[in-house]
Amino acid sequence: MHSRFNCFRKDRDWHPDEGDLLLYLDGEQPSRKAARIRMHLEACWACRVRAEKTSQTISSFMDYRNRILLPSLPSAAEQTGRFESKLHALAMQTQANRPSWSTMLAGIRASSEKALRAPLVAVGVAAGLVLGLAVAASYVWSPTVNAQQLLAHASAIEEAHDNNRNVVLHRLLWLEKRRYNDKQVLLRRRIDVWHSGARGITARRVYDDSGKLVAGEWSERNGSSAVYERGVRPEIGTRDGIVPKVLNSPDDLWEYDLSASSFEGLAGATAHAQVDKQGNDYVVHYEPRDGSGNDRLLSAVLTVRKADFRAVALELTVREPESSGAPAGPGTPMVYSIVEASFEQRPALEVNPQVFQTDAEFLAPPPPTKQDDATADLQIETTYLLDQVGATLGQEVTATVGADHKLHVEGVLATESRRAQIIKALAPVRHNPDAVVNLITVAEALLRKRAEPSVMAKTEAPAERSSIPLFDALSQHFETETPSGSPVDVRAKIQRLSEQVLEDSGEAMRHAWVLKRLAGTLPPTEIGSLSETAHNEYLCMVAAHAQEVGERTEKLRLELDPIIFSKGASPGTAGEGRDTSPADMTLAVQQLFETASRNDAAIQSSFSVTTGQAAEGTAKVQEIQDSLLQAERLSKWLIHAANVSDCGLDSPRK
Amino acid sequence: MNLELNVVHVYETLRTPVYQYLAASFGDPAEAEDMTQETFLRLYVHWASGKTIADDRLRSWIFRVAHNLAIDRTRGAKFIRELACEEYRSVVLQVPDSGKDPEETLLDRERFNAVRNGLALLSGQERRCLYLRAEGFCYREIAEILNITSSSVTEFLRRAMRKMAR
Repeated sequence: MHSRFNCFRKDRDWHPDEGDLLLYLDGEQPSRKAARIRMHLEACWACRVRAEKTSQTISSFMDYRNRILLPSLPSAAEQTGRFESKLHALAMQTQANRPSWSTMLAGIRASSEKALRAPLVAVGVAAGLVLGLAVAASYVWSPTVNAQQLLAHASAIEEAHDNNRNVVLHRLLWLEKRRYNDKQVLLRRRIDVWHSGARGITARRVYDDSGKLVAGEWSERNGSSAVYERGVRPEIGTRDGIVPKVLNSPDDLWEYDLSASSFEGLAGATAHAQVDKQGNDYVVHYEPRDGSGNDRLLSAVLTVRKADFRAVALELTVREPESSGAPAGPGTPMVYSIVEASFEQRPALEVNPQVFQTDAEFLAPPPPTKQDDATADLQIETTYLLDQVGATLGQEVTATVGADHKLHVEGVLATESRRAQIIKALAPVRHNPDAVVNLITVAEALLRKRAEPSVMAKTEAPAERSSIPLFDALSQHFETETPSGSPVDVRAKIQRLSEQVLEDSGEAMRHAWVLKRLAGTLPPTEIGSLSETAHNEYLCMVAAHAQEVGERTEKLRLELDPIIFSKGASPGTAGEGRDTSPADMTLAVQQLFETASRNDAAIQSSFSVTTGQAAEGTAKVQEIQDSLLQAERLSKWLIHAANVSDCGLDSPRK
Repeated sequence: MNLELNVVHVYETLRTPVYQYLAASFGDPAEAEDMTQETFLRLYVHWASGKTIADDRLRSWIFRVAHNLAIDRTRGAKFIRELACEEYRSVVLQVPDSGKDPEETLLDRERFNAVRNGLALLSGQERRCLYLRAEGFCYREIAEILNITSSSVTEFLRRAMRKMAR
């Protein structure tokens, strides 16, 4: 107590300066001085206030830094993929150049130091130095690259790109098929590939010489894949067997990934591959050895860019398979090449989610085949039962007549309980000898891998968007509606509206798809020959889905009505006096599907981030309104034409 | 490959603070991103050459390399990031109020204005000391990163506090 009192007396006229206080607050003062300042602050109000003021300044600065400055900086996250590419390139270069200059110089330095300690061997050191430089130069200027190592590095970079959640990859490729002997080009295709790391989805579209979309593949990270070709049932499976598939049917090469990892799968034992350096590229040559199992493959050549280790060209020389029917006959060598025309990485938020949606032309049902009345009735009844539990939406379950004239009910369900629900709903037809029911869960599909399908995302949830083409118009509306609202409130309202509008549009589209598939199930000429029950069920389904399309479309229009549409428009009635033959209904369904598709595309492009500008979005407003009204009219007409009263339309399906 | 993974791991951990420090202290965010990546590539080269860095020095080593890169690139240029007026206003308006009443929100904005005005008065070194301290570095580490003495760090921070408190 005595010493403390003395200390206080001694420090009464001493006050720590700003630097001392700051060091003290930051814990940077030595312990004795810190103790002294602490005791002083206990006694001195003036210094305590100064210390508190410094603390407040620090607090204000940190608040500003965390809430204002740092949020204003663009995110660095999207650059990870680019960094990893650079790092791999550097690692590759470092390995190729080993022993590096630094290692060599370190060795030389060590030798020199030794030489200084032993002057007599200086001549030997000088000779060693010259030899060392020569060796180093030989490594630096003509490094040998190992194919396995090169492909492993390139694959690692590809994986980093593929998993980058912040960017979408877009590649344009050219596929060519040439005769080996005279180089005559027999086939040319353009391949457009989009890959989303965030969603793990790859959409691959193939166009012919005239630019017509001829095929497409939608695959997921888990390996599931759906291959579409015009007018053919989609081929659901996995990408596991892509290499044998391509070798057995090289015309399917468009499904193959132009990548180092795929090349590893194709070439198998890449230890036998050779690497040449050609200008800016590494060129990997592979020729299968006897007994490698690749009977058809004569050679494979992959070109990898040195700059970023990206595979940019692939050339396969293969023997034409016997089933090919090629004019030159089976066994004729053919050259297939895939060459990259362009590659870009786009910020994920700036890419229209539509690029990952399956194109409508692929979802159209294959042309109906003539079938007997019993199977037609069974198909309608089964579709009706599935429709009752909402399993026809999004093609969760399909019921189609196969080549064996039996009805195949197939689907991959998300859960066991959903499967049980659908099987229960199918009870009236499940034991029919003409029905083959094959419903599996996603978990089972994954276990089977090669066997049956996984679920393909036919539609994608709209990505988070930073702005939309109609942003200005919507902004103006909400600002006028609530003048005191903050920009944050307005953004939130626009976000909510966009989500609602996109959801309604998507729902209308789903029901329009069901209608289209339903109409494609039977030719109009056969609808009249259905049994009364089946006919009534058919009409009920048409009316129910038409009602859903109409209601969703009306809701959509009314949501947008006060904001961007001209007031007072109503759908009115549409051709209620028209003939209601099955052919007209089929035609109306087709028109409704086309109108709903147009509406959905317009809504997607207006309420999602696109490369288009606001002016473009607003220019479409009148067209959108007219088109929505048209969809409502067609829906009403279909309900009227179905002319059914006991379908329970007051409780529509979801 | 392990070496690459290690570098990627360090990059994932430290890229944001390094980038924020460079962008806030030196300027152009795009340039800052480029320098951030270059910093970690140098870490790879450093490790690949067989050199080591003690775990407890790794963070300050990264910042020192980043700082030196930035100094080299910006030598002779006035390269201090200021939030442009419009940008500042837009960010301030979007700051969530966390349930504060309008008066408190207004006071917050006043405080932000004062800090912003104070920051505009700082020299480059004062600003860097301040941001590095905000990153949690002690004075000795700041001195190492900026290649100055600890007492200079104290002096720069003292001046910064005085200007900010005006």
